[in-house]
Amino acid sequence: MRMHRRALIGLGLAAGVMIPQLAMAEDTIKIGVLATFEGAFAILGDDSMRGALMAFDDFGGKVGGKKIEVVKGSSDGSPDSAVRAVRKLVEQDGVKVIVGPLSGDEGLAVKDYAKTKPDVTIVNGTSAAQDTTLRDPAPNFFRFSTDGAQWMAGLGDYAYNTKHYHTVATLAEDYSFPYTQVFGFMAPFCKAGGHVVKKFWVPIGTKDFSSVIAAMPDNIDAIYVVLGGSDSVNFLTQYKQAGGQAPLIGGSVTVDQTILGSKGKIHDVVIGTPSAGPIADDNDSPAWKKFVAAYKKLPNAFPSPSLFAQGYYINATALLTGLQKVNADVSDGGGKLRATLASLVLETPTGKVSLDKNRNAIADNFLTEVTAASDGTLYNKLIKVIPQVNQTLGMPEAEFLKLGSVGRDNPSCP
Amino acid sequence: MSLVERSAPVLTGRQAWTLVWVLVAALVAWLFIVVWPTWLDALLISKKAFINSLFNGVTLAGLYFLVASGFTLVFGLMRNVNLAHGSLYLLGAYLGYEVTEATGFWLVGVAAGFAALAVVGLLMQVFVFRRLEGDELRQTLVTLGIAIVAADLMLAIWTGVTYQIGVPTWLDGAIKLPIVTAVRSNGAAVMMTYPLYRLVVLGAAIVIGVGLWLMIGATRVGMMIRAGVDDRSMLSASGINVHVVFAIVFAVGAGLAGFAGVVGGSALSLAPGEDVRYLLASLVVVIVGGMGSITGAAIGALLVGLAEQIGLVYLPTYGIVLTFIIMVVALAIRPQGIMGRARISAAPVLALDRPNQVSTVPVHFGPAHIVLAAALLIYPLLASNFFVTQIGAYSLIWGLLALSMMLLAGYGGMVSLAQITTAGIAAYAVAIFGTNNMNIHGFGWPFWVVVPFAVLLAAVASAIIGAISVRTEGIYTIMITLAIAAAFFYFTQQNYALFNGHSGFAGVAVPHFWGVNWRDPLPFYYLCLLVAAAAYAAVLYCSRSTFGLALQAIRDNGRRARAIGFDLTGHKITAYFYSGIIAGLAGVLLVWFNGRVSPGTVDVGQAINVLVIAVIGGLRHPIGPFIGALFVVLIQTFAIDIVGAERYNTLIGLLFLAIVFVSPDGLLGLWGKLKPLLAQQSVLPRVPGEAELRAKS
Repeated sequence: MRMHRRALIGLGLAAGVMIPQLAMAEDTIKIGVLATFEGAFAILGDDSMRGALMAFDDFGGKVGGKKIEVVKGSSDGSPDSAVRAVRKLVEQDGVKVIVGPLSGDEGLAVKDYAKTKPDVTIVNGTSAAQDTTLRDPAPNFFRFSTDGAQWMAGLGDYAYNTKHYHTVATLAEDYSFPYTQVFGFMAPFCKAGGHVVKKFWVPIGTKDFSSVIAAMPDNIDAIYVVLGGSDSVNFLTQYKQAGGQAPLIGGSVTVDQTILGSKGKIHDVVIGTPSAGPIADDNDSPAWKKFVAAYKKLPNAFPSPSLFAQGYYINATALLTGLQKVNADVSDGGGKLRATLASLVLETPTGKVSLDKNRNAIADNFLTEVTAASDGTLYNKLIKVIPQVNQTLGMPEAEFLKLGSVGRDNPSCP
Repeated sequence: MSLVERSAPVLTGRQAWTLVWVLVAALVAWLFIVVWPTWLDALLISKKAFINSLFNGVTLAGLYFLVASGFTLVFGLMRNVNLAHGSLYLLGAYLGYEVTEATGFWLVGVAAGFAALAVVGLLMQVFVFRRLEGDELRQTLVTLGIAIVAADLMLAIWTGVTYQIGVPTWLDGAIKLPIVTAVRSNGAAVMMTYPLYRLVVLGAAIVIGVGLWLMIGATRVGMMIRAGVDDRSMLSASGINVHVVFAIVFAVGAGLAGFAGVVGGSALSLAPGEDVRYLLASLVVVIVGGMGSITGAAIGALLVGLAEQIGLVYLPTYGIVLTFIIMVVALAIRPQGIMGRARISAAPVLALDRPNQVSTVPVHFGPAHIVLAAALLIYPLLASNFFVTQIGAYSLIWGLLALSMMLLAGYGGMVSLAQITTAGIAAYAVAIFGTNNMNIHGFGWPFWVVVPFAVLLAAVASAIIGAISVRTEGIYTIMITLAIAAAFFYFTQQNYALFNGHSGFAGVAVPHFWGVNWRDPLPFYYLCLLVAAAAYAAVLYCSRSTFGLALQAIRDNGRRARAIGFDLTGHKITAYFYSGIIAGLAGVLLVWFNGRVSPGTVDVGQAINVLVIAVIGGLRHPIGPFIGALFVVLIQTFAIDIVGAERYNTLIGLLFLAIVFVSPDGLLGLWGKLKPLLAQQSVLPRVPGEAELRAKS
């Protein structure tokens, strides 16, 4: 409830009184953290903040000899509010370096804004839309995390060749993030010879899937499902109630910890579901174990870090590493910082991360399968690490771009 | 249906309808019984899919009926549009979850959901609504404030996690129904299995429905309720304590919402946002079925449930819009709803505060205007760029939006929640016909063509929205326009051909001319100021024009105005058209401000934001909306530094409630109350102004 000086200045200014900007102390650097701190996604925003704070703690709250001053920017998950928040950070709070935002459409909007402020450096949070970096990128927007299609790396191949699912139907929410995930799954799956005979696109917020479940074709080997949050819990429950027979394949958020942690009813139906994403709960690399141990000490933390904590942690770490190398000096408009960031190679809890020419991460991806632990709790067991996945999923860029933008009908292999 | 009547003139209308129903029933029975031929399977995916979607539609209708019956009961008697009804649903569900978890008995949880919410409803009626009796608009605004605060507090307590209420094992699982869905190649028939619990929900809905019907039809309380629905003052005059009746009805209505919450939370799940979902469902159900009618709610729920489930399978893209289309069609054919009775509108239901007072503020461009104009003109010279655009210009834009609502609500007594929709239409038009960077549409028309076109489009759309909603009386407007706003949001989200779906349009170009980039802070601020000043002056002028006076006359006493010879509908629709021009201009500025437009720009939250701003600022004078906008934008921007972003909505909601309670005329009215106190020392003889009159009353 403490009233900040900034707010008082703000209110004073609003009355039309100009108060000169108080000189910032020389030995601090402001870092903006933009995430969804309001609305239904606040719980995700809070976890992403944990990730960012862990990175600041790693550096002892100081970078390049300057004290880190964290300025929070809050959106409600909509692109309009993300741009408003980032404008406040830049134009009112005087922040020159920002970590964020959290979700895909926000990322696209913030990238557009970044172009208008060339001396501000923005490092992604967890937004994972392809076109934030692939098409028409902004020179001052860096993404040390991977996109929604990269998160699927390894899954299409595994489904076809190891699980022998040759005919699949998809069920996904009807917007850009699931389009990207379906694309990431289907590109290798179709190439391997698989068929996606039917795609069900349901509006976001659909809670009653029973009719869709009944309309699933009978002759399919599996259903590939990309639903998030309560939509996913509802689908899984109803699929079980309907006595669903076909095995499931999950998107990166369909069977993550927030879903697996929900109580009881979905237990039987999700076990054995393969999925893929930027983290694996039981990754036994020492760096990941150390990260999880540190994470668990934080107040209100989840049982295991979400990909939001991981994404913000990695992006914030990258930013701080870059700042460290330029002595936290962005007085040149951030040019030196950006040059440093572009060539940065990081060792992270989830493996090596470097950037491509569009400043998008090349990083490891994790193929997992839902498994019951001895105490009955569910977790995503690591099956395979797909090393160093790039944004074009290993294809030459020209060929990849020819596949076109993701959408309801692209790709297609009925 | 009308085709049948025409082609068979020997039948009476009633006989024709019977015939139609018999044929439909026979067709459905046939579809259920036979094993489908392949051509039918090809047409309707499969028998399993079709029969399942019918069953799901009917069982979902059961849930919708449970929620909507409480809503319609309360509305029928008290004309109270309870916009917090969805919050009651969600609260009941959360409480039911906690009790079920604590006791281990699901039925105890169900009972607790009902009982707890009945108490909440009772308290709301006794402590809140009774104080605002006879002022339906303020009651509705209070419910909106409660909904905003409740949603935020529930988010604080139960967070964004998804909850499911555990159903006991004897209700869980699936049962076999005697319906053959397919025949295997070996000749064995595949019987349909169906989740038992969904049938239980339907059963509960039928039991509750019959119970309510009996209560209303055959008990003394029911008699009082029926009498109250028809004529409240008569009931009161005949010696019945209406307050007791009101309290009982509100408790039952809220309790039903809580009951439905537990039942629905067991069938589906609980998460933030479900409150708005079930509120919208209830709105559509009662608008379609007829407000205040239990039978109507059942029919409405059936239509909406079936439309939703069948739409999801056979028309997935627009399934969610389908329910709203049903609503609009129902309104066009029967404005009072299927089972609703045409009501002779009694008192002007929606006049603000004291309807019979002369409620225009005297208009003259006095010194206050000159000082204000000077301050606004030199403001950019004093403020930083951030304050010029993000606070200054942004407040002006939202002020314009709220002004367009004020024109309707303040002078016309029509509270339209679809103003953001009108603005959104203009914003989308600018993105589609102008230039954007999405490689979709972007016809690149020059701005001097696009802007008038967009504004005209918005004005026409507004007139159409008006034409749909003014067919019904007063308070219904708020429900219908809210549903229209939701329908437009869903449509933009689902439609890619025109609106580019969930992503919308980005990189919307702002005009450059006379060597000026009009999105630069200074030019953009002055542009917004110019538009705002013009709209402000126009509304002021309008309020004293023949048209404006006629509009106010219609607001204050529609029947008398009609008797004098005014065309009520025509005037109201014209007002919507004018208001659409202002909202359209705001939409153009908004899309230039954001550089983008997407479904999030026009969602229900934004629609309500406009109302919140207008009410906080005050609906009596066109300056009110701008004051409200400045106030809300400042809080919105700096809440994160003051109370943290998390509880911003609680703050806004409480402020909103305080304003509605303390000063129905918003901040403007507050000033009106303070001014006479401050001016008591004045020796000049003064004619008591309206503000003083109100302060005394």
